[in-house]
Parts: sequence; C-alpha cells; structure tokens
Amino acid sequence: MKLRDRLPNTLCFDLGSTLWDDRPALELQWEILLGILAARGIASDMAELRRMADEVVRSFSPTLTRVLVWQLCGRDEPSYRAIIREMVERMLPRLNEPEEFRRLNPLLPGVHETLAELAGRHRLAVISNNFASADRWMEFHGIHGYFEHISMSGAHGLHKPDPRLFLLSLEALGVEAHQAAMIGDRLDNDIWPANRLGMTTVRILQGHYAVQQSRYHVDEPDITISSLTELLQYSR
Amino acid sequence: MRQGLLFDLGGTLWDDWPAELEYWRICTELLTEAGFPCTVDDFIRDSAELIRRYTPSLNRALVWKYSGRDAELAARIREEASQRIWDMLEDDDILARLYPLWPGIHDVLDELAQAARLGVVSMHGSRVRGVMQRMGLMRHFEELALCDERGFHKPDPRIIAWTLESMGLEAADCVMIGDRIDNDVHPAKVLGLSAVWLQVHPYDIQEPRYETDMPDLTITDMRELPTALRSGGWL
Repeated sequence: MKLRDRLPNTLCFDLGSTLWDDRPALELQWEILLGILAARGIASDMAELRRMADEVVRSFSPTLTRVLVWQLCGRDEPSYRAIIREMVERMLPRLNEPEEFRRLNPLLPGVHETLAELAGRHRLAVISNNFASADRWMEFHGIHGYFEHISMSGAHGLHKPDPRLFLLSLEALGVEAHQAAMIGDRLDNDIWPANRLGMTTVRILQGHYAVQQSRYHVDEPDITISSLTELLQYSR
Repeated sequence: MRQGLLFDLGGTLWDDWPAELEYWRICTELLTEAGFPCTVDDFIRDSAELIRRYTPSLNRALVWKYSGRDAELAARIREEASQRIWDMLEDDDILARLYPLWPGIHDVLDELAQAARLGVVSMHGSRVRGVMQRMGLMRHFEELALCDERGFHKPDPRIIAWTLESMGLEAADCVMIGDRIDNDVHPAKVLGLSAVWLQVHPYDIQEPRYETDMPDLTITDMRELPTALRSGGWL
C-alpha cells in the first residue's frame, strides 16, 4: 500500500512549474509563435493565446502550446508540423544558452536547499515532458547532481500522461510504484498517471495549472503543497 | 493491407446510452438513500462537461462528485449498482433493451472478419463475456482485452499494446475503432495504430485536442465502416 501522509524513499519530480518557473519561457515561446503565425497570415495576439490557454489547461489537454498551434492553424497537419518545427528551432538556441535559460526559467524559491536536504534522506529522480537537452538545463541550475535517474519524454518517445514513462523510471531505480512518490504541478500529467500506478502523489500549487480541478478521485493528490520547501514536513 | 481491427465495446458495437441511464438511475437512488440527494438529470447535465474534459470514467466521476467526494462510498455505490445492472441483464428482454446492438453490426463484423483479424479492447469487466455470448458477438473476435482482467485502464496505451502482443500484430498493421477520442483514438495514435472514430452520442461532443487525437476516419454509423476502411486502403 502506498503512503498517503508522508513521503516514501524514492521521490520523482516534474521540472517546469515544479522546480523552475517556466512562465517567462512560455511568454517568449508565444511571442515567437505569434510572429510565425503572422508571417503565415494567421492573426492572433497574446490576449487570445492566454484565453485559449486557460481553456486548454482546465480541459486536461496533455500539452499546451501544441494545442494552441493545432487550433490556430485550422487543424492542418502540414502547417501544424511546420509551425512547431520553426518555433522549436528559434526557441532551443535561446534555452541552450545558460544565462538566458536561467532568466527564462528561474529556479523557484528554496529549491536548492530543499533538494540538498531531501537528497540526504531519499533517492531523487526526474520524470518530465521535455526535450532530451533538458538534462543540460538542469546543469545550468546546478541541480543535476541531486538526481539518480532522469526520464525525459524527448529521449524516450513517451510522453506524460503515458504511464510507461513513469515505469521506465521505476524500473531503472528498481523500485515498486508504492515505494515512490510523484511531485508535480499538473493533475492530468503528474497526479493522474502516478495515482493510477499506485505511487504517492504530491501536487504543488504553482503556475498555470494551479487552476485545474479534479475530475474524479484518481485526479486527487495524496498531499498538496504550495511551495517545494513544504515537502520537508512530509519527509520522515 | 491491414491485418488487425480492434473494437471498443459499449458505444461502439451497441448503444451504451440506455444502460448508462439505467445505471445512473440506480446510482442516484443509492446516493439519495445514503444522504446525498441527486437525480439522473443532474448526472446528464454534468456529463457533458466531464466528457469535454476527457474524464477517463464518466461513472466514477459522477458518483464521486455526488458522494461528497468520498472515494470509498463512491466505490461501494458503483459496485452495488453494477451488481444490480448485471443481474437485470440476465433477462434477455432487458439485455436487448439496455444494450441495443447498432443496426447491422453482425453483418459488418462478418464482412470484416473475412478480410482481417478482429479483437476487442474494453473498459468492461469479465461479466461482459457472457453478455457478448448471448448477443452472438463472441464468434467474431479472436481476443478480448478487458481492463479489469488486465489491470490496465483506458486511456493507458498498455491495454492496446497487450492486445497487439497477444494477437501477434504490429501497431502499424492495425486500426482501432471506438466512440471516444480520449480513450480509443488517443492511445491508438500514441502507439502508431490508425483510428476510426464512431461519432455518436454522448461522446460526439469530444474535440480532438491536437494531432495525436485525430482519427484517420470519422463515421456516424457502424454500417459505414467496411466502405470507410476500404476507401482508406485499410482493407
């Protein structure tokens, strides 16, 4: 049986809005997106993207920007793929530059101290929907060394909420689901799959996904915190 | 040449709505008895929003909500309601009324079985086997993957992956046919199968969120399926 009121030995973390604040990066991504759309004669603006995004978040769509692009390009698959490719090509060089990355994805308060303390008592891992290069981004923040195992969707071709991405981590660490916790900001991509597998679940109320409401009991986290430092209260 | 056709059950081979309403009637009675008054109309009203939010199980969500979010009470009520429904379904007339097969479904499956191997991937429990036997559906299918028996629940792609492995089929050679974007089309596309969406009430209001939700074909009547599969080059 999984633990519901304290943390098990193994802790798996999401990255964006859990360890770092990815909202500045999202703003930049959307500015780039608006430029690409304008060049293709598709008119939109930041206010419309924010309105659409709010709906996408509340409706439990697995990804955010991809859904916006899909809707704005009239669900035309070739344009969709071309726009995504161009956006990534313009975005990645900025993210792969350490100072720029840190400016666009600032570490959330207390993350270093909390991870340092947790790493002394738990085994830490990362399960994230991210580019394979996010490994380097963790180094930019100096947090890579805390983690024993890292599962990036981009490296495996599996994306949250697919439970198989979680199983990769659990298998690599040699632990059963009930011996591990998932800590993340999203009910759909972090809490739901981890609950399905029988992991302890911790929701962190940060960023755009704080407005998500549980659809049913499988979306309900065992523990809810509003900042990572609160995790320490549930450790041991 | 496509080799495997995988079918969802409720909503896909038969109209699930009459059974859903009967199940909700029992659930709302039990909830009201337990001190949480609610009606079938409440369930119908809430179901649209839950369907739009791709809630994996409508019944779990509705009963949980109206039980004051008490997961244990909700589980007990669902179990009691399922028990009563399955008992009612022992009667052939009630079975025909609650699980009306879509028109022409036997002809469609007979025709498809000549050109491809057929399997089932469903959220149902083991008891559906007996019901399918009585409806004459079992003869069409080589393999039944039932979520309760396999321990995977849609939209977990592993339930489809298990079926492919059990039947010795490759994802690229298969088509998943179902009435839900979230639980049928999405996991099929994630695994690399093609997908046909039967767009019927109540899941007809679901919208593909992005490319991984896009069915290759959309039909509104199962009798269109053989022609649709042929026109798409799958048969």
